[in-house]
Amino acid sequence: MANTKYDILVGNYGSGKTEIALNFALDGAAQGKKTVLVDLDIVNPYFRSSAKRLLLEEAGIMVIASEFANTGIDLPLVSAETARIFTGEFDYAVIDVGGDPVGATALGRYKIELGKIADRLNTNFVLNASRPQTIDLPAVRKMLELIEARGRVKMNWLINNTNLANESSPENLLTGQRLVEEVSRELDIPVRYITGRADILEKFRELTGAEFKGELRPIVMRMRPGWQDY
Amino acid sequence: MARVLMKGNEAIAEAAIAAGCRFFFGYPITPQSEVPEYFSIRMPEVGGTFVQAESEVAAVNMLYGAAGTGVRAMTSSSSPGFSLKQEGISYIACAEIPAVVVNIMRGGPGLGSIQASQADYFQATKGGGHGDYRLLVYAPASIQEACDLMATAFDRSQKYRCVSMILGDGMLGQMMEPVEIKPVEVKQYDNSWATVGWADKSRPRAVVNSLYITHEELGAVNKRLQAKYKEIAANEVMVEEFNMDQPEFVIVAFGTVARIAKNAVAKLKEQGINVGLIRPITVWPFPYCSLEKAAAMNSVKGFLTVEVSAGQLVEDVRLGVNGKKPVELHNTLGSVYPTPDEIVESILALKGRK
Repeated sequence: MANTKYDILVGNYGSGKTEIALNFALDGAAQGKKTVLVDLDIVNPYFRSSAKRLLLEEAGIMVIASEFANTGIDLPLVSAETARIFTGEFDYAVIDVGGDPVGATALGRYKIELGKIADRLNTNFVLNASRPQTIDLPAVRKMLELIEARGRVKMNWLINNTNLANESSPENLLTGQRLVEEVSRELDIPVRYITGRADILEKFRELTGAEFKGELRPIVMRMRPGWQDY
Repeated sequence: MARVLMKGNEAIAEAAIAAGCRFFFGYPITPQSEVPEYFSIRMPEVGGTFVQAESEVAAVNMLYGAAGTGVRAMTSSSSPGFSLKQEGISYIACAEIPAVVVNIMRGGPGLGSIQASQADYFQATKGGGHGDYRLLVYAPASIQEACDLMATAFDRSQKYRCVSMILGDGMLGQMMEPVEIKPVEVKQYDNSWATVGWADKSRPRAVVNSLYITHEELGAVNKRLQAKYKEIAANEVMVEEFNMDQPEFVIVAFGTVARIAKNAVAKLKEQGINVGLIRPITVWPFPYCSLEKAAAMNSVKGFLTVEVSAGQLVEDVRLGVNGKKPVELHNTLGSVYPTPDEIVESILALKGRK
């Protein structure tokens, strides 16, 4: 019964945690897993994963979020219901943590619970090398170590999600790949995925001659309003 | 600097630093809190000063004091917090101190909501505080434009010794876009008015003041201010006219809402309906002349103002159109943003009308 698999997503604001969290949860549900998504963001007032509650619930995913998320007030709350992810009733739990060390603070509260399920836990540091706060190794190291300290959790995976929103390109992703592989060597954390739009990933594969660390994982973008293209 | 992905609030702060701003005084309020947060990290790195004040009122008066010495300084807030700053802004305007203020609008009135809104249009463009003064108000529609306008806002505030404002909404503050923070050539203007000490007595004593005891003095100050605003209105209007070649209808919208409206223009084009868009970039001074010109076009049957407020922008549109063509309002309340399809529907309804 109690063999829930867990994916925790942390990183800098704008690293793309929320897009990845939505993709992880929807892919999990599509594979028939009983899936739950926790919006653990205590920082961001807008553009949070629970804003896609309807889409997720239609896919059979349970959404746990502060009852004030996406409302008119800004309260840094964690839903008490988050504890349900440790009861064994789900096959797959995705935890979308707020950005930066300050966002990771909310995760620290679950240190004991997470310690008990460590063998089924993936902790993913999402890296977008186009963000000024994670643009080189010293900056990433600082960000990652502070997130580990505040979140009271060690990272066991890196995800290269380098993008420039609608200006994303394979070259841009490759810049991020060089950085994520450097971080991987220096901090001894393996690269798990390279994420992005399917067409960009395909061109990235050609560009690199398939010489890269990590697995290509196409994701669908759902958070960005279409009118931003104008 | 290469193109990076930044949140609107962060980019606004970084662009201010690029424009020479070295003093920031503020107080947190959603959805602009990343502005002070970002300055708190960056100001020490560039030799600047960040102060989290005890209140918005304190912050704006710190701005008054710092800017009175001629340095580039700013404050930022969001709607309710911005209301608190109005008295100080009026003082700064009267004392003719160059300063930059940022309002990242949220829902109102009252505490309203943390969600985005455009309902501070009147406050920004028609005074806000007491007395006859104006702000030079820029309303960017993208994060890149916000950064570029930040440089303009600082420059013009120094040039005219006036208060410049960046008027964004929570959407602009919170969203992320690729942006390039361009280097700014910081132009130096005469600042013999600044209170930087009087040790050598080589110039008249500089005094920062907004109190005038005689009718004559206050009258003279007001005349000088009005002449300045007239000059600003003549020289500083910025507007985007989009798809204005013989349009059947013209949409008027500012900020992020204008971008939503642009999607509607594209969708209408697919249906064979030619609709133009007038986007005021400065909302004061308002581009009345663009409206006047459009109203005189034979092809134009009417105007549609799109705004996330109860009918504020539409008043300026009516002033510009001056009764020559019908002006309709498509607005939303409660921090609900219109969709391109809803705007398309409104234009189709106008078209279907006799």
